[in-house]
Amino acid sequence: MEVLIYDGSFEGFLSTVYECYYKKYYPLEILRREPAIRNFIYSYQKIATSEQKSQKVYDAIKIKLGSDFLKKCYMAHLAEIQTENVKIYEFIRMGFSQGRIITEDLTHPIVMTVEDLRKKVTREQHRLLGLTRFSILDDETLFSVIEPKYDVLSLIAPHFSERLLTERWVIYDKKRKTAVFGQDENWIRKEITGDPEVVFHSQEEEYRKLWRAFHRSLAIEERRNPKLQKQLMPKYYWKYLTEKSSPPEDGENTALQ
Amino acid sequence: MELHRKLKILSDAAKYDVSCSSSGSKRKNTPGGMGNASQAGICHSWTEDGRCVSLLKILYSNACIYDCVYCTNRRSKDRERATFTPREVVELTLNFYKRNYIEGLFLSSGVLKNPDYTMEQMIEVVKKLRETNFNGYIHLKGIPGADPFLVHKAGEYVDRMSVNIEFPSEKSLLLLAPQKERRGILQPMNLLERGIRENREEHRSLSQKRFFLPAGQSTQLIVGASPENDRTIIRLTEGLYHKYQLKRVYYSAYIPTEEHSLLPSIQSKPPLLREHRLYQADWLLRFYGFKAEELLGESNPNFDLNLDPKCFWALQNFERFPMEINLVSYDVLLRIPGIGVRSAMKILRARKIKKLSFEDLKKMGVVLKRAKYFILCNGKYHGGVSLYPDNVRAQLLGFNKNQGVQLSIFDQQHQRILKEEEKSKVMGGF
Repeated sequence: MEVLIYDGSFEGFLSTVYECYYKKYYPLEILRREPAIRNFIYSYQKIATSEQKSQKVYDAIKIKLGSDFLKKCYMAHLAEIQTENVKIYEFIRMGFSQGRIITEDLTHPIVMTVEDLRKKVTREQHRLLGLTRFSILDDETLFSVIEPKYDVLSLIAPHFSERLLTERWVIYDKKRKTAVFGQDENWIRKEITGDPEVVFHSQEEEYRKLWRAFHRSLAIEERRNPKLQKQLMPKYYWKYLTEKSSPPEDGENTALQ
Repeated sequence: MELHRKLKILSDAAKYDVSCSSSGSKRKNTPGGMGNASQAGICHSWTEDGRCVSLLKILYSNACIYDCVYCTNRRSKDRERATFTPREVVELTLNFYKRNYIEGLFLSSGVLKNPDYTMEQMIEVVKKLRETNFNGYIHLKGIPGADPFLVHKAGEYVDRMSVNIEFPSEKSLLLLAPQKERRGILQPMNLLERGIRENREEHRSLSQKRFFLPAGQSTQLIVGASPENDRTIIRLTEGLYHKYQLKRVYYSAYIPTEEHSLLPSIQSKPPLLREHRLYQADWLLRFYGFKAEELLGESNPNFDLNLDPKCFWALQNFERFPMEINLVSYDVLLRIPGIGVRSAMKILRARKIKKLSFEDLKKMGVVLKRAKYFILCNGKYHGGVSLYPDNVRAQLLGFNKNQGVQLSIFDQQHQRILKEEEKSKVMGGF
């Protein structure tokens, strides 16, 4: 009865899978970090992330089970739900023993869990392609803050990289203290300490006001349906939305402080 | 007039245009350029009425010379008028796009001076945008009656165009929009369709790729301002999809803004539910392999507002049901009420592993609220009512609230009476 602990990265997770196979662990749980309290009836093992081992597992999944299968595991892992990690491991085990056909077994509890995690992550990824809001800083950099439920930062970065070819841009994930920096077709992901301090461009406030005015005048009174609005655009995301972050309707001339 | 004021007026004037989709275009970013199109489309926000905001949807001008009785921008109406300059629209679009507020531009306009002049101004805007290397999505309205040459020229710059058909029959068009002609609407549509087809051929043979409306064309019509029935509308829609290869037909429930003898009274509510049913039927035509003639025959020219069109169809073709979920093909699965494209795909996949039971379907997240009356799982029926269309109909209409309550012998009599009453309410006409 082992509880395995790894560093939270996908490489770390794949290294854990490797160790499970070669040291014959049957993990009860696979944790992203040290738990607050260790339960004395279980034995705890820390797994070191190894590039070599993770690469081996990576290649094995890709060759034997296909890149779709690998992508499923990767996406599900990004959901960062501790208690479900072990299911992703079991999913991989099932794949190796029964073949990739198991992904079609939509009524199997493990397949269902992985599919569900993948769906959650994909949905948020797509959602944030629309809901990410950039502000222009005084040095013309585009700057955005997000707090996604799942770790989708690396999933949305390629989209903005392609779109904002000629710009310098930064998306900061406040929850994970991580940011991606993009310029000239390339982007990198870096952890940062402390919230970055920014100075906005002099025109920034003007365009925010224009956007809010536009957004407000679009709604048709006869069709008002705030419940539907919240269903499609959950309140969780409103914090960083330009059109939702200001006090509503205090006259268009009041500057946002 | 300051930009802020203009934007308010001209977005307010454009909001009744329902189309907001930004999908279907493959336009890529170019070296040194800004933006690209997303094949699936991206919604950037949702307004208080729950509609998605994807494009900067504005009119170029609301100073219209036409006097269409149903329109809020008609000449004889007393309201503030404004006209953008091409430069203003370009700046707004680029700045909103950079901040990821929008997916691109949706530009429509009232008729300024004359149709040709208006079209020229709009072309000026999109040309300028493309010259700054903007590769985001652009949807442009074709102005009815403009020179076909101009309409075609506009198509070279933008991703999608639409010419609004406005009313489902020529008679209504003549009555309510006397300055617009049927010819002025259909001619540009025809021309655009040909342009798209030629462009597709070109893409096959030439290495140098030039875009012409990569996201096709669409149209919009107003529901509830004129007397046409659902059957007329659905048949028209089908024709537009087949003959003109339209990507979408949008329906807009008429919202009365003023009293007029030719229009529904100002007190009348916009027929939102009817609009919803039409959209559902539209989906059935495009993705579910239904034909307009199947959905609404001559004897029943309108949908039942209480039932979605697929249920409506299934109850009229009840002899085809129940269907064995483990046997029937994809096309047939799609005909089962409550089962959509996604559920049908899931069923096909899971069927490879084992025979599916009712519980399996539940686990997989197939919505069974309606489907259960129309399916068999491994030969078992789980609808819980005897298989008569009238029974199923009553269940679908929601008269099953007493289910799930523990029965006692004392209130059975009472319940029976209640059920009879409900039945007579529903079946009153029969």
